Amino acid sequence: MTTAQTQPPIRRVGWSGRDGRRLSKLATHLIAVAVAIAGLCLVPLLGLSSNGMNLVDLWLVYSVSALGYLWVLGLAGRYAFCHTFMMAIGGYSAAWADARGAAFLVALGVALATSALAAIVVGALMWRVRQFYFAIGTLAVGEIGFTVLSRTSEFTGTNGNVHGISYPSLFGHSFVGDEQIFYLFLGALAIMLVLTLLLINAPVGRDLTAARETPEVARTCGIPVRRLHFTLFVLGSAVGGLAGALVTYWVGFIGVDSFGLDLSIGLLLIVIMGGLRSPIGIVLATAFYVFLPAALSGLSEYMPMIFGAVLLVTIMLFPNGIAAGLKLKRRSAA
Amino acid sequence: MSGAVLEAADLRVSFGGVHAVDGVSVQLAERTVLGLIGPNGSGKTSLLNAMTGVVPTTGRLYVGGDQVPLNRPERIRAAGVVRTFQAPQVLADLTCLDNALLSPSDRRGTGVISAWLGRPWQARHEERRRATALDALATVGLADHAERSAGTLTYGQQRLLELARALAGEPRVLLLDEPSAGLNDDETRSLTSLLRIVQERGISMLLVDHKVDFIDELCDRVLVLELGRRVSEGSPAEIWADARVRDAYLGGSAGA
Repeated sequence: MTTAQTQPPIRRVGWSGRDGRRLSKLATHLIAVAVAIAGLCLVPLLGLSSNGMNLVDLWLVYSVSALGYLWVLGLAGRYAFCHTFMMAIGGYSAAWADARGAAFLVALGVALATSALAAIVVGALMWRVRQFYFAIGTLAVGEIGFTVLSRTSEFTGTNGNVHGISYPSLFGHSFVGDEQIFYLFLGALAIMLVLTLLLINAPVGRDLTAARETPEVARTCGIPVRRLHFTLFVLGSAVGGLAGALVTYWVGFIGVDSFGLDLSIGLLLIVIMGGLRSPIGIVLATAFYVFLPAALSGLSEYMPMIFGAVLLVTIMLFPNGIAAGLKLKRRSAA
Repeated sequence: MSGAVLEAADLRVSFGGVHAVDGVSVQLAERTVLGLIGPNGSGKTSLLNAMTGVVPTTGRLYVGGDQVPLNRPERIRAAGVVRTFQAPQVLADLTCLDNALLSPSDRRGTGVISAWLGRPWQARHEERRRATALDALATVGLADHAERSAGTLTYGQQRLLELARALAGEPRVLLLDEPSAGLNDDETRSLTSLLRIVQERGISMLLVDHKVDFIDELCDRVLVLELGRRVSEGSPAEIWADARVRDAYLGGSAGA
């Protein structure tokens, strides 16, 4: 029997797939990201209005945070509602470090560390709670956290407001103004996109799919489901903290309203619209979330309603997210 | 206990006052097939769940003489115990090959860190895993489907894919939950010869099933459960001759 079997050829490519299709998928995505990032580098040269440039920066930094949220929600399958709280923790930590003379990169490191630590604490407290209850629990933790932040003044400044944060600077170069901040945020987004693509196109991406779809079966397969989910929850939250720190450095100010419940719901909308496994989809959905209100500025009072309707339509038309939905449509049209 | 590759002692599983498994002990000798039969609701699947750690269980479990903690599916899997499920559990969105890669015995390079920082190292281990998984797919006859998504398979093929995933994990002990359920006679016959090959590879098996011929043909010994308790154990011939077993299957009144 064994001798009769023909051994399929094994090549040094791919995670799976005899023809290495999977690796070429990763390579294609990486190239697409590189091209897109290179193209985006030209945006500051377009001579956008200051408001427009501001929105572009907001889009990039929210994309970073949303990609972190993708790790939590899409990869770990945890409906955590404390992501904006993690952003706030990152922002305040960076402000705290900056006030004590820490360099920009050091402050970012502090932001990453404190938000990761906060996620470890929240995770350790709430890990046994599942699904809906985890969502409510983390929401409660976030709300309590925001209240605490607004009442203390030691760490967060009077009533949770910190002003006068330095300009971010890397290797002696200061990023002043929206045009320069743009490149800083673009770099962060590029790193996040690459990290996410590497995760999805790896054995761990396969294991995460199994862990999300059928956790009990995955555990009997030996996949360390809880450890993986916990790790991604902590890492994704730390990315949220990093995004919070970036926003804080950019604006030069942080207050408790900087990362409110609106943004929490917005991030959820983004990840659902973008698709639970599509980093590119997330970036597109974030653009939608940031630019649509500006495009419809006359209708700002109806914005929550419009977002609600969009969410509904998206879920009905593209249950796997916009990017996956468009891919499917294209295939059936071909 | 010498010679037992898997030994479970005094396993108990209860759901709100109902004792689904009530102090059952199992001994599976090296390179043998143990059948596990009993009427519906007798606790066969619960016993498998207990032995793979997916339901809260008390008792003791030994694999190859070493104690393994209950209620820890990953640890039990790492000790070499692999199972299939009553309804085939495959991921429809993944390819058959990816499905077969989900339960490898060697998990090196499958973590987050290696996805980011150890790609070449990861690729080296993944290559070996792929070879094993493709080999397992070939063994069950799904080699041509490796690149297709598992959702395109028939029910019978999904069962085979689950078996391939288990075999790709190079198990010491294979627990099969009604592998012949939903298969026609031809498919059952080819499953029988497939499981013979598995047995020849030195893999011990615990086989839950309802089909008498299937059990007779494959099993060295048979364990009979009723209401979560062990009723009888012996060779297939002894079992079918046992009045208690007939009672268990046909109900208490059948003694008349």
